[in-house]
Amino acid sequence: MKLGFLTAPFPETPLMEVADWAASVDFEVLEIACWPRSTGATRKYAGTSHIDVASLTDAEAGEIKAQIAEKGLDISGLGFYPNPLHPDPEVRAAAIEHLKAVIVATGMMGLPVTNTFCGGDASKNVDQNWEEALKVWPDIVRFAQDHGVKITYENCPMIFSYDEWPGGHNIAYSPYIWRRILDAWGGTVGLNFDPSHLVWLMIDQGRFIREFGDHILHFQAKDVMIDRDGLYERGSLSGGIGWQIPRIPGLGDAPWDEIFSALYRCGYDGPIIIEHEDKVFEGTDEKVKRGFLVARDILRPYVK
Amino acid sequence: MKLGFLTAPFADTPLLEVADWAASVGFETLEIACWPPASGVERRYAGTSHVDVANLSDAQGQEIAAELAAKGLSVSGLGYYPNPLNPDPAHREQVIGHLKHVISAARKMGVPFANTFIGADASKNPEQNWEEALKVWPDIVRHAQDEGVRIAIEHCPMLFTYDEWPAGHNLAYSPRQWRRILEEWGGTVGMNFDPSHLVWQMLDADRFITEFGPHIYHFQAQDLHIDQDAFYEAGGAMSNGMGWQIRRLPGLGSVDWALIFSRLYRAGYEGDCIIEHEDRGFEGTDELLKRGFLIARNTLRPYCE
Repeated sequence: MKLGFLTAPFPETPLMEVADWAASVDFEVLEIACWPRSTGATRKYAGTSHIDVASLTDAEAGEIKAQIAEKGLDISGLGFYPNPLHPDPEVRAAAIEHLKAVIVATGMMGLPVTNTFCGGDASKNVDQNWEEALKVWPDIVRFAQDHGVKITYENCPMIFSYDEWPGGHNIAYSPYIWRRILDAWGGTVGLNFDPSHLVWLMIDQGRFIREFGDHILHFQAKDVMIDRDGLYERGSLSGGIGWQIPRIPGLGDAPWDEIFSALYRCGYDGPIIIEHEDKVFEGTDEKVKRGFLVARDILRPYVK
Repeated sequence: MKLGFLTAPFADTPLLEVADWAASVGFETLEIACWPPASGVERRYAGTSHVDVANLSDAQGQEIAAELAAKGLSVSGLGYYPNPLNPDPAHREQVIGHLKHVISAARKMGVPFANTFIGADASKNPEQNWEEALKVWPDIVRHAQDEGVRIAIEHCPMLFTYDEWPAGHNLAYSPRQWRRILEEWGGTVGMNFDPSHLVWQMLDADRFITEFGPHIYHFQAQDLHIDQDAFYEAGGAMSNGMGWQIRRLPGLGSVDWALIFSRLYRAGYEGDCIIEHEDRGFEGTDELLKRGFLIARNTLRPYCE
C-alpha cells in the first residue's frame, strides 16, 4: 500500500507545487483532481482542475507522469465526481462528455482508474434511478473498455441538504445496488471505497469489505463523525442532514484498525488516498496541510 | 398504571365481546379503535370501527362507557390514525371531519384523549409539511378545546414502502418537530408515546423521555427489531426503515422496557399502558392475536402497577 491524497483542496496551487509539498512530507501517491477548467468551484471540494484533460496531448500526458515520478510519487487515478444521472439533459451531457475526456486522459497517462460517481436523480427512488443508470452507463463503460481504463464509483450517497433530498446524487452506496452494478459491469467498474460513508449509513464495515473487497479498485480515507445532538434532533430518517460531519481520518468514528484489518485480509494492495473535507482544517493552505498531516500520522502505521 | 390494548386487531368482533375477553385475562383498560364504519380496511391495522362516532349520541356515549366500566375496564382514549395532511383535498376534508367526530365522541364518553396523527404529504420535506400543518391544525385544535378533549399524536413516521416515501404520512416523529408542535399547541396537543419508533430512528429513548416526558398523554407499548440483513442490504440509514423495521410484540423486539418504564415513572407519567399489536408472527386468527396479546401482557405486567 502507498499513502497519498486527492489534490482537490488545493485548487489555486499548480499540480507540481502540490506534488513538491506531498513528496516533502513523505506522501507516496496522488489522486489528481480533474474537473473541467471552465467550471470553477461549483460545490465545495469540487471544481479543482489540476490537469486540463479536455486538451491534453499524449506528449503532455507522458510529461506530467514523468515529472511526478521524478519527485518519487505515483498517481493512483484521476478524479472527477459529477452527476452523470442529472435530470437536466444538458448538465448530464456536459458531465458525461468531460468524464469521457478524463477516461481518455487516464489511458494516455497509463493510469489504472478513473474515479467518479454513478450519479442519481435526487427526486427518484433507488430502483427508478437504477433503470436510468442501465440506459446511461453501458456507453460509458464501453468507452472505458476501449481505452483500457477501469472506472470506480465512490460509495457516497451525495446528500447534504434538501438540495439533494431525498435520493442523493449517487445511488452507488448500498450493497443492494452494488451487487447490480457488479453484475452489469463488474471487471470494468469497481469500488472507490470510502469507509466514512458507512459510518453514518450505519452499515457494518467488516461485512461490507468482506462482500465487496475483491471489487475495491481504489481506496479513499476519509472519516465521519455522527453529531449525536443532530441525530437526536432529526432521527435516522433525515438522510444524514445536519448530523454526518466529515472529518480528517482519526478524528471521526471510522474504526481504522478494523478497516485495514479487513482490507489486508481481502488482499487489497492499492493506494490509500486521503480525502480532506474537514471544515475545521480549511480556509488557509496551512490549515489544509495541517489536516493532511494529522491524517498521515493516523494512517501511516497501517500503510505498508 | 393500567394495562390494556388498542382494539384495532379485532376488526370483526363487537366491542363488548373484545371487552369481555380483555377483562377475563386481566386487562384493565382499552384504547378503542374508531375508524369510520364505511372505510373498511385501507391498510393493515387501520379500519376497525368499534364505536360509530359519527352517529353517537351523548346517551349512547355514556352507555358504552358504563358497560365497559361494569366489566372493570376504563377507556384510555379513542384511536383514529388517518392522514389529516393528505395532499388530496377531498380525502383530507373527509378524515378531518371524522377526526372531529372522534374528538366529540371522546367528550361524550368522558374519555380524556383522541389519539391520532398530524399527517404529512409524503412528497414534501419536513419543513414544507410543517408549514401546511400550521394552516390545517389550528381549526382541529380549537374543536378539541371546545369539546374539552386533548389530542395525543403518535410519533410514528408512517413510512413503510415507496408508497409513503420519502417523508412518510406523519410529520410528528422528530424532536425538532415536536418542539414546534408543543410550542404551538402544547396543553391541548401532547404525545402518544410509542418507544418502538425510536428504535429504528436511532433516537435515544432516555433522552427523548427526559425531554418530552411531561407532554406524554398516552403510552402505546409496541416493540420493534431491526432486520440487520435487510438494513445492510438497503444501504442503512438512507433507506428510511423500508424492509428492515420489523414490528413485534413487546418483549420480542429491541425496546429496553426496563429503561422505558423507569423513565416514564420518573417523568411522572400517570396514564395507561396500551399494547399495540402489529406483529405478523401473531396474526391471521383470533387465537394467534390473543396469544400475542398475552405475551405482551406477561412482558409488561410487572411494570404496570
